[in-house]
Amino acid sequence: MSIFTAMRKLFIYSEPKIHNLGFELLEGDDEGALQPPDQTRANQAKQDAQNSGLNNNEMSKGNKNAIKPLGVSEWNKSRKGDGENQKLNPSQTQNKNQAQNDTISNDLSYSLNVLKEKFGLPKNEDIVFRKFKIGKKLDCFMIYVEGMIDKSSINLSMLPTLMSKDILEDMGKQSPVDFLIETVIPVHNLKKESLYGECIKQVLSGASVLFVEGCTECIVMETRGYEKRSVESPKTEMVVMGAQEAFTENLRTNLTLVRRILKTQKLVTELIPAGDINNTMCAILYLDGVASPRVVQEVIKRIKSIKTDLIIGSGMVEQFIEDRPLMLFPQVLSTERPDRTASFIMDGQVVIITEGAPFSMAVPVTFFRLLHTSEDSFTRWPFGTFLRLLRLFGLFCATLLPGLYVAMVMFHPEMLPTELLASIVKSKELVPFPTLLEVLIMEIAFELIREGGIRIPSIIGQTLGIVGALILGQADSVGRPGKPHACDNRFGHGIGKFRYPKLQHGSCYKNREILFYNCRRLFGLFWNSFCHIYFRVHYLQYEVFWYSFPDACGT
Amino acid sequence: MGINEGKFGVQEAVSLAAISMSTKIFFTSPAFLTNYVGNAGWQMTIISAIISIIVFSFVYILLKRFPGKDIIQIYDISFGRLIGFIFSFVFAAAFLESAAMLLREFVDVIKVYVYRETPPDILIWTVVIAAVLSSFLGLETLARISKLTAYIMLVTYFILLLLAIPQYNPTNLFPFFGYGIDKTLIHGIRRSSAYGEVMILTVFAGSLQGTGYIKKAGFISLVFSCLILTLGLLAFSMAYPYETTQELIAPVYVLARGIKYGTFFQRLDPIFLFLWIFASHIAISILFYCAVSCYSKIFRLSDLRPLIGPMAVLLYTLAMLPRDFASVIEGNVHALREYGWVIFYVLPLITLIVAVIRKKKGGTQNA
Amino acid sequence: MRRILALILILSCLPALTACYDALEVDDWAYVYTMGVDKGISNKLRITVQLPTMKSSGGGIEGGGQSSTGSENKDFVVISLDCPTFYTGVNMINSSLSRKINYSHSKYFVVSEDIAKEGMGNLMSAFVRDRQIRRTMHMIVVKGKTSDFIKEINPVLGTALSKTQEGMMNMEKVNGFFDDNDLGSFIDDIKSHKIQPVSVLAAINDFSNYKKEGQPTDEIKSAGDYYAGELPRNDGNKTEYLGTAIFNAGKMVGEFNGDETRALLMIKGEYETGSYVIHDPYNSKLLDTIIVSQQKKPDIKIDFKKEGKPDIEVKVFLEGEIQALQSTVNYESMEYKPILENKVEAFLKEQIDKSISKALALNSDVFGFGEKASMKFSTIQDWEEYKWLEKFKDSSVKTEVQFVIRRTGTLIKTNPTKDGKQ
Repeated sequence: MSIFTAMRKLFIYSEPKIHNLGFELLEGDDEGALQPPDQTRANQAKQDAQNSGLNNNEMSKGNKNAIKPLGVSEWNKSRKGDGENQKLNPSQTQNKNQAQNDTISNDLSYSLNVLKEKFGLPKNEDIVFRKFKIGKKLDCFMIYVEGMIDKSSINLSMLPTLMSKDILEDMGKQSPVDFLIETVIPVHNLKKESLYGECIKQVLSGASVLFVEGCTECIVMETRGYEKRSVESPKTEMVVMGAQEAFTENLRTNLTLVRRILKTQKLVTELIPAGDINNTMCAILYLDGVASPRVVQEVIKRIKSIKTDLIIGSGMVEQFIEDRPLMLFPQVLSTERPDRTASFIMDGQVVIITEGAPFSMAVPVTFFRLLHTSEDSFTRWPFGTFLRLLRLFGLFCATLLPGLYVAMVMFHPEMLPTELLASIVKSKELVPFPTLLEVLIMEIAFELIREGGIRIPSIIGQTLGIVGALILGQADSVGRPGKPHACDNRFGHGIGKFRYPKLQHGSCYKNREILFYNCRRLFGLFWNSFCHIYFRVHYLQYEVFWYSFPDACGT
Repeated sequence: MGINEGKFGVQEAVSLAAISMSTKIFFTSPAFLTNYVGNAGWQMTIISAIISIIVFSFVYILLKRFPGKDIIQIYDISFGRLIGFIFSFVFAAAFLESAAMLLREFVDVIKVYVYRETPPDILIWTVVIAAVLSSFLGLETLARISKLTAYIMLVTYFILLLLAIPQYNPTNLFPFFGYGIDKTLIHGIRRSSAYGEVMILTVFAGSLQGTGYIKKAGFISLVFSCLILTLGLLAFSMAYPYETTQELIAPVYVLARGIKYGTFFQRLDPIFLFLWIFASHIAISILFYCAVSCYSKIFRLSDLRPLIGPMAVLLYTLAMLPRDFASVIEGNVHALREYGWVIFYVLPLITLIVAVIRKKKGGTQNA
Repeated sequence: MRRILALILILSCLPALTACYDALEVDDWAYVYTMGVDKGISNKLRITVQLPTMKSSGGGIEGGGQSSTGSENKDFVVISLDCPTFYTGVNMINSSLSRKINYSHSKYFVVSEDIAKEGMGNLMSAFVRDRQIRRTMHMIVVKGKTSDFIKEINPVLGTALSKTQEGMMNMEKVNGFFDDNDLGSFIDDIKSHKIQPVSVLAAINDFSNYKKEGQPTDEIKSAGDYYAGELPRNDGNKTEYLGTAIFNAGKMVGEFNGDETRALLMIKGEYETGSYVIHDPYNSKLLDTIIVSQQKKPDIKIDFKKEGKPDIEVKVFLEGEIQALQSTVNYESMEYKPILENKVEAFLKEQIDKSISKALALNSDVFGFGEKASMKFSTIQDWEEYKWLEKFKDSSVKTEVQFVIRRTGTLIKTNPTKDGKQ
């Protein structure tokens, strides 16, 4: 009988069984990103439970005995929740309850002590604690960082108003803080705050904070006034026609520059601090309803999950949020032009502007986007199209020319026109280096001069320029000791490379090109093509924020 | 269940199938078939294409009976596990052999014309590694690569044919029917295996959005490949008399070598070498992946990546197996082109008949 | 993914540790510009290769100019060697040459007349197998010794030999005195059942036909009525490319002179342009020069009415321009133009008939009538059975020339000169 069944099984078809494991670790969609920051643990746990419950139902219709899955966030929470709490404790001497909550005490002197201790006074001489009495009655103190506030507004309007004699006369039974906010303080933008930690952050970013006796809240006043660079014309992305404004290092200014172009209420700016210690603000700009919510969430999530002490500028953020660190292409598109940024936002990309660097970054990025400049759309279409094609050609030269030269000379001399071949051979006769070395020497010389040109202080920069021109020019024009052909292609290559709107993109091609050298040296065009294929694979497999990187070429 | 191979559209499917079908034009078989049909090779390939289109419509009927299923599952459903296994296994083996023979042909042609001193191992390994890499990255990436490259290759191919116009002499196409219309017809039917690679679409059936798309992709890719092969055959039949074509290893490459416009634009074949390398690399990768995919589907494996390494070794071995170039051309490639249709066309047709008789139908539950 | 990328990088570096098999520096090759085959004396063949020495004399490219004034052997070296076959010969040459010989840049393949007459089908078949041999090389048959001929290939104008060689072959389009056939089509034609191969006929002109002293003559000889090496010429290149070698099944059977070659090209439809001298219709002592060029491809009709004997009808369409008129008849006008045209037609028909009858006598279908004839057959078996190339000699050929004078140069009228004879 069993033999018969076995035989029968060979001739009939049965659906393959679905083997469900008893335990599944679900990665919730909302991992971190969706949760409002102040949500309590209990709430979150509950929600997670609901979510996973739903998932569970969907997932295992036929498998009811499955153990309830555990969300990753939940799992993490339960594992290290306690440890984190303990870390937050500012000081052992303080009232445990207060310290844990980090809420402001109604005891002014206590608050003063806490803050002094946190700021490391008296060693830290930057922080100013200004004690005074509001309306000569109410004890209070103001805290700010010297140099980061607008002195005149404090000196001329804030202190005189607060210290004038009769301002507290109208105060009824309401909290002094509310009273002050509503009727007294002449500052355009202020808010209440009830946590020390937040206060400290605000103070460090240039606000001044007012603590009032008997209140568990403080007033954070927008009195920023530090030195900053004014808006200047772009340095790396110059255009002939079009706007001549560039971002500065100041986040607020940058946001203003963008907002001035996009006058729509749909433009959302979310501010997220990044960097564990220096708390650099990252602004995430997107057009509500146009940008993909998935990308927005992902960007927020990635920025929040940056675990590093120091973030200075967008370049660092870029490296923390990119999809693939080994990809040779840049995965965000950075620009220093507000108009370009605005056009990215309008296209539905999410833009990240980081405090401290005059660049914005747009994600997701596609390959052809990297080749565009803002001027393309300012010029009339025939010229604009020509420019883009020219750039594409430059890209071709930058990546292929040196390798092609090596391949032709070393593997396929039959491909060269005979006269050209004769002149190459004649000039090669006097060069003691093999072709590859010759090209590499030129390459390195070029790179050295380029690097030196950027780094060397401008006072001696001129000397370098002259020396550089001499070295390369000597090799090129004199011809006798040199390698005119390698040189020609070197220059075509160098110039082609800087046709890129984006230096970074150029550097990607640099790596790629070195790869190509190697390959060409090995097998000429054969390997060359293979390298191409590998590269194409490399390039095509990528998805940047779920969008296929080579999107624009239709693949 | 099974592997998640991702989804792609009709364009990708067309380029996958068309590249794997039409890469042969670059190698030995077009010249070899002039031994049988003379200068009427282009007629022969049209006949082959028509046959293939007819067969493919039957295969489409088969696929329509089992929506969402690929050919391996269909074999299983129609015949049960044992015979289904045999059928599927033969299918997988045929794909692997096609890949291996294309690889060997490619390497030998490259070695003859371009890299005479490079050991074939290195050339073969280069291609195998490329195939392995692209298989690792999955079908979706492969489809994207082939689509992007397909356009470039198509343009280059037509540029090549256009540049060769001065070499064409239309009287070389006469006597019009080559060695006789009967021979053309017979060889056209036999050599319809040239289009057998269209069956990769049935293996990837699950990755296309629906059976209607398979039909579309299949027919378009067949017509495209027919166009490419016909134009290629027409081009070199016009360029050289049949007496010469029979001698050449890779007539299209010779065509590229013959391009000459003045003293500067001549000897351009290394530029067109790109076309050869791109086309064969992608075709080999596709066929290799297809074999791996078939194999993993036969055993209902949930991941095909562990198979890639061993299969690559197998591919290499198969490619190295023929002793010499003569046995590649006259033995393996010839056998594959002459009798490949038994595997690629007859098996699915038998399946269709059996499925109709046994009243097997799929698609009630979509996996 | 990381691992894969690392793999790519490692793999791309890995072969760097091994050798680069096919890589050779560009100056490790010796590029052959001309290769020649002679009958050998101490061995079967005598091969000759011409190599540029690639010495950058003086200052690079400009310096080349100086060297051309100096001795000619400085820029090129010609090596001759007796050997059993061509490629073994190349190996033998490399025992004295430090660079590997590469013939992918060769321009000319030169064969001596003796070899051509003995039959060179097998030689050529063997020769073309190498990958460096390109079908685009020019095929030349030389009267006399190849080794001597190759020594004389030197750029008289300019410095680049390769340019000179390519440029020389382009002269077919200027004077139509030789039929430039590349190696590829030569071999195709050797094997084809439709057409017989031809090749450029060349020779050394030792300037002996140029008589420094002698009686001035009134005798008129047509410009193309010479074979290679016969031009009464004084200076310039010693090499001369004029006329066509006619083959039958790989064996050289005859020669066409310049005029016959022009007729050959006209029938093939490859004729570009060339000047003809005609006796004036009214005064045969005066000579008129007409530029003749092909209007469209000739119309060739072939019938097999008579018992297997082909009936060929050729209609050649030519057009032209008056280049020089010695007569004062107003041929530019509608009235007289047909007279001149008819004269040219008759003259050209005579030329064409002459070369066709020569080809028929040699039984060599160099005109490619067989290509048209094959259209009448439906299968290759029928065609090969018919044996066109054997039956060509039996065919009757009818020719017709259509000639139109399209333009008359810069003048539209010729007035008589005043002090001419009354």
